[in-house]
Amino acid sequence: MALKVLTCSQNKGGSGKTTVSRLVAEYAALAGHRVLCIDLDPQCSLSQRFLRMDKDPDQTNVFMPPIYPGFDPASPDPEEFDPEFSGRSSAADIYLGAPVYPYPTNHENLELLCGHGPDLMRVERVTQEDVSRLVHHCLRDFMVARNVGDHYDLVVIDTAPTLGPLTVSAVRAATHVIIPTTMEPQGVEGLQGMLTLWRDENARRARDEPIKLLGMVANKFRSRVALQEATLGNLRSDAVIGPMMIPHVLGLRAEIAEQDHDSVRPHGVFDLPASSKGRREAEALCRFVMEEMELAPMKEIAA
Amino acid sequence: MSTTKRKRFEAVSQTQSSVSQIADTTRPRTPVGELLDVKRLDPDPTNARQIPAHFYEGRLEVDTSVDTDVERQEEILEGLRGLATGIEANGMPSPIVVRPTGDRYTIIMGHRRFLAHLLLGRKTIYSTIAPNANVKQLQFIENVQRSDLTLGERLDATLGLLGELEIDPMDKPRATGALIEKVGLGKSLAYRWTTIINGPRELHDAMRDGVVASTMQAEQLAGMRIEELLPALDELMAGGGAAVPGGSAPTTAPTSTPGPSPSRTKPVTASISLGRVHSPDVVKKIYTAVMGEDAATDVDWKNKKTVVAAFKSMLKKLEDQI
Repeated sequence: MALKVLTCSQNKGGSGKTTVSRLVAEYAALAGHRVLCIDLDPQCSLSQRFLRMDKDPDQTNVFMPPIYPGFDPASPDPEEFDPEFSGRSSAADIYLGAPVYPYPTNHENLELLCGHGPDLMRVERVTQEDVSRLVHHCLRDFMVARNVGDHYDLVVIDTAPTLGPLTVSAVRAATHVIIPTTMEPQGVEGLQGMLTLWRDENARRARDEPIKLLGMVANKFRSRVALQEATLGNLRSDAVIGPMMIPHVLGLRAEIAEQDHDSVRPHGVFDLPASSKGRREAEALCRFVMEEMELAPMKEIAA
Repeated sequence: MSTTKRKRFEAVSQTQSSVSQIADTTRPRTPVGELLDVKRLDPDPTNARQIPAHFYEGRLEVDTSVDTDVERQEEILEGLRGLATGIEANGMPSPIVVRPTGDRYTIIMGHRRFLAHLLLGRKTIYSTIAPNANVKQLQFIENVQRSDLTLGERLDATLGLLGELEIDPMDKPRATGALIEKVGLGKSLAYRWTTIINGPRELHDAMRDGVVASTMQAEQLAGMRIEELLPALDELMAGGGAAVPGGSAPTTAPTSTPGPSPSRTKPVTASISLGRVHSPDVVKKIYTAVMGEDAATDVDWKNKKTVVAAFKSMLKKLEDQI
């Protein structure tokens, strides 16, 4: 089966990129697919959902990848690790040419290339002349060169709320893209940049390898709020945007936010009772994503 | 929930309109062609617009034997590089048009895009296969929209088009009508071209050699008697292609278009392309066979410019004799 790469992107913050990335990755792993998550957001929110990150002793507000399991900094095993491996691996290493080691997580079938703020921001600071060569193509080239498709069935990429070089590289590497958005003016504003990015990327690609837009998904949706209902209604009834709207929504639910708490790990949304509205919405969305990406969805999740 | 509030938010916002407009541009509009192997495509040697570049062992080379104007060649190559960059960044909005020729394909439209694909190292190109295309008409439409087409190329494209439509260029009403209806030329320009193509062969040669600068100038020259035209062309040649000596303001209205002069030579209906060669030895062999060994010794066979001039002069002499 050819590798599927889903990029979750939206240049407005707080739209639910990390939530959707996490849900899809966990669901696909539970369905038996081998999943790699790549966190390209310097805030490392997705990484923290799956790994206990280390605090940078020099910068208290910075999280860094933990020491890789089994790596002994005093005497690294030369047979298992690259001699240049520092013991910490992040998604930024793909761009910086350093050894890359995805971390195992508490979820079977799910591995993670976590973020590292300072290094990812260093990648973003590349000059305009070099950005195409050093960043835009880098992730795509990495996946081909390292035969990522031999090890995983699905790669899920979470991006920062920008349209910067890392986001462009994530879209270039993608086979599919999903755009979470809130049903508020700021969320809708972000769609302009994302649709333009998707369109331009498609135009530069050969027609036999287009990037498929799964659609735009309403996140943190609050029914009975006039602005939210009217915005969703307007988007769905628009002749052009309507067909691009994913028919499932994720409501603003405390039980989904609760899954981010440390005490919940290693469980997730799909461990909630089958009667949970949050779980039902997440399952419906993930099943849609799996079917659109031609990946087998779960038949039934154990309650 | 307040009804007023709901109504207010139901109005389509400026942002949503903008998103809708952008989304609209993502919908495919151009027909998807077939993906053809670039190795199976050949340029059309009869296209009036020849691009003086070819690929040899993976490199784009300037074809100095076809067009000796180095500046123009560089401009075209620079344009090709720019086009390749654009295709790499934004893709190709519409497929090229090809016609099946045996198990290969001849490019009717899109020779530059084809070269740009080679420049990018692409192995395939999206193509619309058109077995029954009106080749000259399509090429004419594409060619006339280009600003870098020479006057001589425009002339040959026009003659080629009328040939394909089986219209005698001397049948001025039909020729003008075809240029207006089939390729969308304005009335004045169509009349001007009909006048030009009915002009003497010496004028056409001067247009191909770059002596005549514009269609207006060519139209004026076409209205001259041959005994006036030849000195005028000589003067232009000496002056590097300046304005028509002693010429009045150009006329474009159909009523002011001069009729054919009885002293004119018969108009050329179409030119024949004799192909391209890279080795001067091939030209030397033909030249020696036609003109004799003595004449061949007078030519500097190491200088491509001289070789091209000698071959042209041989063709002219042959044509005059025959």
